[in-house]
Amino acid sequence: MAKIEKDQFEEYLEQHAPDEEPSSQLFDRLQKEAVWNQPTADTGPAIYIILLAVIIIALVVVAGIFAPVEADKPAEKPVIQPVIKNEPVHIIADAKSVFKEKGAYQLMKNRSDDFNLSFSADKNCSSLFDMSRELNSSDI
Amino acid sequence: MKNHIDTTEILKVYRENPKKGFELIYQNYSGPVFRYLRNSFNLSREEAEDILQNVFLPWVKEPEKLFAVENLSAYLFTSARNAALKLKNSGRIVEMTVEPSRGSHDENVEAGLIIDRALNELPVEQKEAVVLKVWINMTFEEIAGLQQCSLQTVASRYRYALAKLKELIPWQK
Repeated sequence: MAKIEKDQFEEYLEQHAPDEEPSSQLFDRLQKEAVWNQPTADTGPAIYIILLAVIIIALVVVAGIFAPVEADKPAEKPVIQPVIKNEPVHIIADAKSVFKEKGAYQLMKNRSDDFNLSFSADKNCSSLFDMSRELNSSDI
Repeated sequence: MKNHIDTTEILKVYRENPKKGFELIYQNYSGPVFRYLRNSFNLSREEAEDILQNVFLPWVKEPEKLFAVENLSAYLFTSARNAALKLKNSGRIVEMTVEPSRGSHDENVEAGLIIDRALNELPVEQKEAVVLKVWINMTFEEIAGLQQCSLQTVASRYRYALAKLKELIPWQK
């Protein structure tokens, strides 16, 4: 009995089912958005934009090929020279006594008594042409 | 849905000719989904239409992405349900007094209003179970899939909802 009542109630509800429909404008709005209603001319600018992008990319690639390679070279590693430790030199002779004074003058003086650049021995103070010589310390 | 719509055939037509297929889909599902939104979630006409538009928009904008859909009814109702719950949880829905969801040509508008008021006394899941079972003609299996719960749960919700509605609606008078 209860089952029959339930069915009857369901039938009652069914008889009073809502019959609302969405507005017709909704279908029109959807049709406007539909891909099959989009004008094909709209694809024109898109193609030009894609072509332009391809050209720009090609230019960038070409520029990259001809760019100086140095920029891409990795930085050279500094070469570290091995440290050579010089051993202390063994002194086999000391020239201190001989070369106490610098210059060829002293060398000549020590090596030969005959050779004397000093004008003190030139008593005449004259040149080959018998011309008197003036002594000037700055000429020495 | 226990009706004579051959959804497999509709989807086949849609894959071959999206324009024609969409017209069939809209013709068969826009009304039921709209009424489901209005009566289960207490949405205004504008809110229900906004959701309906978002549900159908991918079908007209990117048909190739929807060629893989196999269960048309489940897909549409699930999309609508998710959008409605999202809107409801966002707090943008203003709880309104019962807005007539039946046309003025209804012979018994008063009875319809009483049913709407009684439905609004039920929890959303129970109200949803009644709307889908009685007015959309879904099976318990389909409702369970939509609500993501067991068959027993759906059957219980439906039974409790009917019992409550019987108390609220003077249907035998």
